[in-house]
Amino acid sequence: MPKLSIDGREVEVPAGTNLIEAARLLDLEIPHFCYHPGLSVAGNCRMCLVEVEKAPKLQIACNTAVAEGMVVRTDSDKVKKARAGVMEFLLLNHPIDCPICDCAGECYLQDYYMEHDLKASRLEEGKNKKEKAQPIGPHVMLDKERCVLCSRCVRFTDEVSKTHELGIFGRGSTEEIALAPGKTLDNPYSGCVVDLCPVGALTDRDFRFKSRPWFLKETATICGGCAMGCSVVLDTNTNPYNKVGQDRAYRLFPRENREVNGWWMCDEGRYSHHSVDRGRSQGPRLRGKGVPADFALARLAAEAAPLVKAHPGRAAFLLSPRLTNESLFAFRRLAESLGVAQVEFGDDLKAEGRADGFLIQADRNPNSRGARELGLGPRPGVLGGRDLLKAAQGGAFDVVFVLEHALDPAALKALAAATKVLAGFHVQEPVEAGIYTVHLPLAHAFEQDGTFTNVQGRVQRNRKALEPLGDSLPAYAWAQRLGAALGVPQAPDGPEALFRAWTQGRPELAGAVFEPLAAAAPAAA
Amino acid sequence: MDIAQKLPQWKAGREDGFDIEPLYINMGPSHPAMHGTVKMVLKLDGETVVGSEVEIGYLHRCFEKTVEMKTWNQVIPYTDRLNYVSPLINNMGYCLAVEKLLGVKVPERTDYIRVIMCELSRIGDHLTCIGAGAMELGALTAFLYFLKARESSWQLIEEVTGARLTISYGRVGGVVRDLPANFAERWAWVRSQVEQNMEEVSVLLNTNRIFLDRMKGVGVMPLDRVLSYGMTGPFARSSGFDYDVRRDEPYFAYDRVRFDVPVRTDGDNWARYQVRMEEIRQSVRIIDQALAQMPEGPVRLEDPKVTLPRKKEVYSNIEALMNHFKLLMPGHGIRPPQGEIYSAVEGGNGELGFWLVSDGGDRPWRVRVRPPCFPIMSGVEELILGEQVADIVPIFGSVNMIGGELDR
Amino acid sequence: MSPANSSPAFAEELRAALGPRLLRVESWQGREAAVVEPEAWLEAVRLLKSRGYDFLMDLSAADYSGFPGHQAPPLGVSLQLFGSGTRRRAWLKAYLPLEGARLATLSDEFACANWYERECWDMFGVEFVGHPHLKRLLLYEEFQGHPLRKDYPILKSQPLIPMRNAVDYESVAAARRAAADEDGLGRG
Repeated sequence: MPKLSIDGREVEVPAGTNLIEAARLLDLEIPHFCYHPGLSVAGNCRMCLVEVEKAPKLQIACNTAVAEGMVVRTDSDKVKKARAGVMEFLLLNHPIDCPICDCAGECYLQDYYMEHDLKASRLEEGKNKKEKAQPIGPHVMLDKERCVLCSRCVRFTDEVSKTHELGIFGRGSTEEIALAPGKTLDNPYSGCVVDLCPVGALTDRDFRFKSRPWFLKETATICGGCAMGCSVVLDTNTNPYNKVGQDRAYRLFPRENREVNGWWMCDEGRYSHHSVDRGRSQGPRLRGKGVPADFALARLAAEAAPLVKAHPGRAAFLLSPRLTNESLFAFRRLAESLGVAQVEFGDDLKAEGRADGFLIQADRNPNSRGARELGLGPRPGVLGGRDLLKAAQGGAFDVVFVLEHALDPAALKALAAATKVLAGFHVQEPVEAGIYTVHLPLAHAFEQDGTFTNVQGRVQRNRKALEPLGDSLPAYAWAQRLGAALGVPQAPDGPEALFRAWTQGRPELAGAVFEPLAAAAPAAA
Repeated sequence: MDIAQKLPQWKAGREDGFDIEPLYINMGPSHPAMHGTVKMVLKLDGETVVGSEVEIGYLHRCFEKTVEMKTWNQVIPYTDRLNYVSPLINNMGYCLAVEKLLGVKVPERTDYIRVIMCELSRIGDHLTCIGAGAMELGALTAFLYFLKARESSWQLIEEVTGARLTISYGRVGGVVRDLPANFAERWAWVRSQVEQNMEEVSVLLNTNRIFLDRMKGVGVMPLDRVLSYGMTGPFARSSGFDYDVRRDEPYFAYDRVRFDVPVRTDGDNWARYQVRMEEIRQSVRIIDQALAQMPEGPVRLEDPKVTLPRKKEVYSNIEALMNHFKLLMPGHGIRPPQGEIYSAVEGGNGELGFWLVSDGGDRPWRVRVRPPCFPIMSGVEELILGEQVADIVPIFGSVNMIGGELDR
Repeated sequence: MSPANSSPAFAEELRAALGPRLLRVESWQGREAAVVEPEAWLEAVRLLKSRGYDFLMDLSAADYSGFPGHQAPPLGVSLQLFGSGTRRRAWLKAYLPLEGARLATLSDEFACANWYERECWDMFGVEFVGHPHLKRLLLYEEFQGHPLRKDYPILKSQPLIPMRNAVDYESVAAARRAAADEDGLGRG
């Protein structure tokens, strides 16, 4: 592997690595606009110019592969002058938008100006005017004046989404990013261009003007939109003094994870953060009436406990592939202590869609594989989801627990009519919550710690970003309360203890720790 | 220290054998003579103070905790409220400390402006102290005359900074704006007011039998006790401790102006009165020299990482706008490197020290103010021991306790 | 302070006398602070006093819990000494744990240490062993907690003090007189 020196520090990297990546290994960030590890190299911004010994002119670090014995300097006067020069050119026509630009606080121009420029403007003429605030798609807003023409978005639509909606048109100072004739930016990954854009040219319409980024707290977690389990960051703001309105979750954007989602995520997952604050089930209901949790559990105890005790074979748990491994395991344990054998995750009832061959999976649930590997899938002696519903509607079950399934209202009514106790647990308040004997609110995935197993078999850590809304609780917490109510007290294990419990006896997960859990057990597909 | 240690000749009880109990009187916190609210519980034998307990904290406003949540520049208005009689000294003292942490040196003109404004504040502080002290002895005229002089200095301060008390004129890296163009003439007017009023009050007080009797020999603090109590400033200099931060560890432009530091050895109220009067004259001298020597130039450090760009630039080009933006964004702006500094200036009452701890962020980790009147107040219990109740008033007046500074 | 007045010599003198109990010397912007073991506090101060640092300029503390890169115990007590004759400064520090923060009192060495240490106790909960009456200085007696510590809950209010005149004043006064020490000022 070639060894080279950057700013006097030695580093050894695989052949073919460019200088930006090599410098990153030394915790040295070479400024750049157009370079992105997930896209082809364009080399048009010229911000990453560095001094390479023996080369007469400065070289761009993004397209210079390492060579043995290379000596690179990123702090020399020539480099500093080059950076300041590039910044001056980029800022010549840049509009004075910081107060109204969503990107402020995360803007490459701002950051590089403070670090590498700090020179006064020499512009005496006016700036070029271009079109501003142009919605180019359902999710993206384009401001042509702010664009620095790095072409990241163009390369993305050409190489990643392969939909070719954006292009650079014009020459000189009238050059601009625009939609290809007749197209709009509405591919399933359109939100990714907002992540890519180093300035405020492409901004998210959903997030527009909602919050300044320095008020937001970042949590690294997993998207629950489909079985891919893309690594994401959730931005939240719960400080009553600097947020307006009720929202706590503001946006989701992807994290780099080369084994799962690369640098991208789909739009459906990106805008799934609204489900944290909207339409939530917040309070327990007893036959539709809001009651305190203790009361609801007490009624459940009174009505369901004797039935389950007398005939465990007439009780059923319909779990969900949307629950974390820890919650699933807690309910499995609960069912075992109750002697209830009918525990299944509703494989044939789960939400499904069409895979797109890139990131979006057909299975639109985060933890089907996890549920299956916990032994909660369809198996002999246990009814599958549809069969369970049919049997229950036929009167085969007295007590049914339904967790996180959006059941057809008619089926639900029939189910309620045929069973004695129908308990429901959902994150979003179901329209027909009154049909359930007892309905208890579930905490959203972003409100609990836990793990999901994605389609690759990768166990990924879902991190708690917010406190559960209202009286909602993670499913494992309800399992513990249910156990107490039904007369089979469960151990008060938190997610870490539950993780240790369910990973026991799983040799492929030996040595996995809950915190920090970087993806454990890569796929044995 | 108790009464027997201070006055060996004092003995309890009366010679005629009457069985007596000491009288406990509460003086303050709401009392005309207890400036800035302080409570003294006095144990009296007749009129003599044989014991006391001084309780402070009535003006505690959690300065040190509050500023941990503000950015380095946002702390400056809070420093105004420390010694509110000489707020500019607090401003500049704090700014000096932060600049030391940052390792930057302000432009030369700023140094002179800071000297001028600090001395103006000091004049105001001493005028207030002496005036109020005299008033409490009944010399209302002296008070009113000195307030007239103070009023003129405050008018000048207002012309320069825009405020009389809550000034916030300093910034990290300089001062907010330059002196107005007519400053020299206005100063000449203030100077004449101050000198005239000092002359009038000196005539009224210096040979006034009542004033002399109440000040001479009253409230004596010997030098060894001054040192043990860690007292600085005019109070200590009147007992013989010849230390002045401006002369001995110079900052701003004090090394370029000539001034005397008045020192007396008697350590009584009279000495303190004289020291403060003389300090006013020296401050006037300093301001004259500073005005004469002051060079032209910028008044704020031209460092884009510390000082906000000019508004004209901010509104007309993106570079200055981004600069302004990033300096004010939470988490950005002035961020001194990790470290600590103890930096002292000469406040109206003595060494005003700032111990700043920075964690590298945009907010201070710890701001400790070493209030100059704190050690002096800690010695008041001993100071009034053996004195008459009536003497407490001039003694306390000469201590010049400023509640905002003592309690923070 | 200009570096000319910082006196690295004081650190050397401490090192000679205390040996390993002088834990390290921290240094910023040309000024040095000698960090000693809490048990060696009084000895270090007495030594410095004998070498001419006879003036206590400031005694305070800071809570370093969560300070990036801070390895020592969190409560740092900082002492600024000054030589009234030599005009040189010395800076002494000791780091204490949050629980059981204890340091020897300097009130026998310096008269003003009485109040400085009371304020340290008030704000940080540092107990000065041997202090004549270590009670709160700036805050009222019934105040709970030590506010300048980083874990003080700033978003909570103090419990309200019970109204004093709800109690029979005469009996309270009598109780205080009875509990008074020889000086009769009720400093219990």
